[in-house]
Amino acid sequence: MSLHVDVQLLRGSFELDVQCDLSDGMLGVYGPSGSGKSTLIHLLAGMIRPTTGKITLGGNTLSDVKTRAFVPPHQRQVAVVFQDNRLWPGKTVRQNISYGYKLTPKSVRRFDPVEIAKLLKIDHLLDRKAADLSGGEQKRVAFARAILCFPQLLLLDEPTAGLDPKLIDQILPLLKQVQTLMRIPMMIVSHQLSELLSLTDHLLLIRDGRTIAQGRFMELVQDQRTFNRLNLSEPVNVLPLTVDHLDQSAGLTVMRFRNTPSAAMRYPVRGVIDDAFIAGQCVNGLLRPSDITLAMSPAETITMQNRLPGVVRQVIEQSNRHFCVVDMQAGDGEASQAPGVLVEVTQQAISEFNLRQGVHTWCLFKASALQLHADVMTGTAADCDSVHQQSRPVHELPNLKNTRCRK
Amino acid sequence: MFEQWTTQDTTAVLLTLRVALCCVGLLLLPGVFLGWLLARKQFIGRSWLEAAIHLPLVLPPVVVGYGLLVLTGRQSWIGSFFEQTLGLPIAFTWLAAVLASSVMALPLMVRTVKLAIESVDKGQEQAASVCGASPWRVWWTITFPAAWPGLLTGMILAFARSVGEFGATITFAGNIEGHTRTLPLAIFSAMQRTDGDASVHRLVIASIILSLAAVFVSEWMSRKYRDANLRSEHARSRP
Repeated sequence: MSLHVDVQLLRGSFELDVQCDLSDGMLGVYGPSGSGKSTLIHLLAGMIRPTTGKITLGGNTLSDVKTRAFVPPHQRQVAVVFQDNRLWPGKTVRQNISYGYKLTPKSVRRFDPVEIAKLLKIDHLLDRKAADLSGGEQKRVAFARAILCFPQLLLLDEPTAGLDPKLIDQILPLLKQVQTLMRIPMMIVSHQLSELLSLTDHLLLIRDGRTIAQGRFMELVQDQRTFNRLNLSEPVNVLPLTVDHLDQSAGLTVMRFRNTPSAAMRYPVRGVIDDAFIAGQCVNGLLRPSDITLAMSPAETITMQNRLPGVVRQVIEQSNRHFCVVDMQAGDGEASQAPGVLVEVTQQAISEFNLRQGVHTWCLFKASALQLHADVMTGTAADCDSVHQQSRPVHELPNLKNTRCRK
Repeated sequence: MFEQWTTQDTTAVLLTLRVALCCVGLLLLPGVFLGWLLARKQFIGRSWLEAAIHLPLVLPPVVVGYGLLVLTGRQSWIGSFFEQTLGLPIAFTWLAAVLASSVMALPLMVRTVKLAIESVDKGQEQAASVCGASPWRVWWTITFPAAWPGLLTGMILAFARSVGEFGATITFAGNIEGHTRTLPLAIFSAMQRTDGDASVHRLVIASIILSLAAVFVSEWMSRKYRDANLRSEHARSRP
C-alpha cells in the first residue's frame, strides 16, 4: 500500500504545498506549530479539498483536481486519530469503538472490538460513557475506534498532545503495537522530534506550509538545508534497549542493546533505577547529543556510569555547530553493533583529538542523562521478543524515496 | 364560567389545534433542512436566503398576509392551479390559516434549528465520516441525537407562533367562523360584541391552557435527553 501526495491548498494568506511518498511503515511529520501539519491530515482524510494536485493511495486516486476526481471521506478508508480525540461524549465506549466496525464489510474485518479493547486495556470501560473517561483513556478509545475502521492509511495528529509524560510513555509503545498489528502506512504528526524518533527515523519536514525534505533522520542531519530545521537540543538519540536486570544496591537499571544477546554483552548501558521496569522489558533510552562526551580512553576515574567504545563514522559541521556520528559497540564481534549516535562537540575538540572518520573513541554519558521510556505496553521478556521479532529492524523499514525538496 | 362553553368555542379550539399541528407538520422537513443548510453549508446566495426566511419576523404580519393573498389568490397562477386542477382553493380556507402561520413561524423554526445544529461539534461529524459513515448516516447517528432538543424547541416555538397568529391569518384566511376563526380571531371577534366578555375570558383561559400544554409536552419529551446533555457538559467542564 503506497501513498503519493502532491497537493497545494490556498486559503486566504495561508498556502500549503506538500509532496510526500510513503510505501509502508511510519512517517513522522515534523514541523513547528502552524506549519500546516494538521491541514495536511485534513487534506488526506478528505475533509478539505485541495486547490491543485493529486493524492493516490494504493493505486486508487483519492483526489485529483485535474480530473475532478474526489473520493469523499467516508469512502477513503483513511482513519484519523484526532488531536482532540473527537469521541462522541453521549455514546458508550463500546458504541464509539464499534461505530466504524459496524460499517465495515465482514470480509474486511480483521479483529473484534473486544479483542482490540483488551489489547488497549479499555475492556473494563466498554459500558462507560465516553465523556466520563480520563485523557489517556479517551486517547486509547480513539485509537481503538480508528483501528476498528480497518483503514488503508492511519493518520495520527499529535497523538501525545495534552497528555502527561506518564501517559505518553503508555501511548507511544501502543503506536508501535498498532503498526505491528495493522501493517499499514501510518503518518504521525508532532512538533516533538524526540517523540517521533522513538517511533520512526523517517521524517517529513514541513515549515510554513511547505515540504522541506523527506528522508531518514541521519540524512536530514547531514543536509545543510534541513539541519537547521531539526532541534538537536532535544534527546534525539534513541537507543533500543532491553532491561537486563535491576541493580538495587547500585541504584541502576542495567540494560543491553536489543540485538545483543545477554551473553555477548560486555558494555552494559546503565540508567537510574526505576521500579516500573522489570528484567526483559524493552525500553528506549533517549539521550541528548550534548550529553555524550567523547574520550580517547574509558576514563575509569570519573563517575560517569556509561562507557561504550565506538568508531567515528562521520563528522558534521553545520552553522558553527559540530557533531560526530559514532557507531557504538555493545560487545565484541559484528553482531553487537549498536546504532549510531549523534554527539555534539566543539571545533576545539575536533582539532585537539583529531576527530575524523574511523577514529576509535569512547562514548561517556551519565546514567541520569539517559531518559528511559517503556517501548511496549506489557513488560515480559516473551512480549519483548515477540514484538521485536514482529517489528522489522529499522534499516528494513519503509522504502521511502530519498530527500525531496521543492524550492 | 365554563357552564356557558359553546360549540363555537370548541370549534375555535379544535381549529386552532388542527392549524397549529398542521403548521408544525408542514414546517418540519423544510425547517430542519433550511436550518441544516444555513448551519453547515457555504453557497452563493446564502445570506439572501437567510434574509428571505427572516423577512416575516420583521415585516408587519398584515403585509405577509397580503403578500400570500397576492401570490396564491384566485387571480394568481398558483391559486388558480390549486383551485382548478386540484379542486383545492387556498385563500380564505383553513389551509390558508395553516399557510399563513407556517410562513410566520418558519423563521423561528429555522433559527432555532440552525442554532441547535451549529452547537453540534463539526469535528464529531468529521470523526464519523472518516469512520466510513455517509452524510445521511452522520446526520442520523451523530447530528440528530445531539441537536434533537433544539429541534424540539423549534417545533414548540412554531406551534406557539401558530396558536398566536393573528395579522397574517385575518388578512389571508379571513375570519370565517368554523373555517378560519382560530382562537386569537375568536377572542378578537368576541371583544367586538357588547355581550362578549364571558366568551373572551373562556377563550383566553383556553389559549393559556393550550400554550402551557405545549410547553409541558416539550419538557416531557426532552427530559430523557437532559441527562445525556448534562453528562457531556460535565465532561466539557473537566480540566
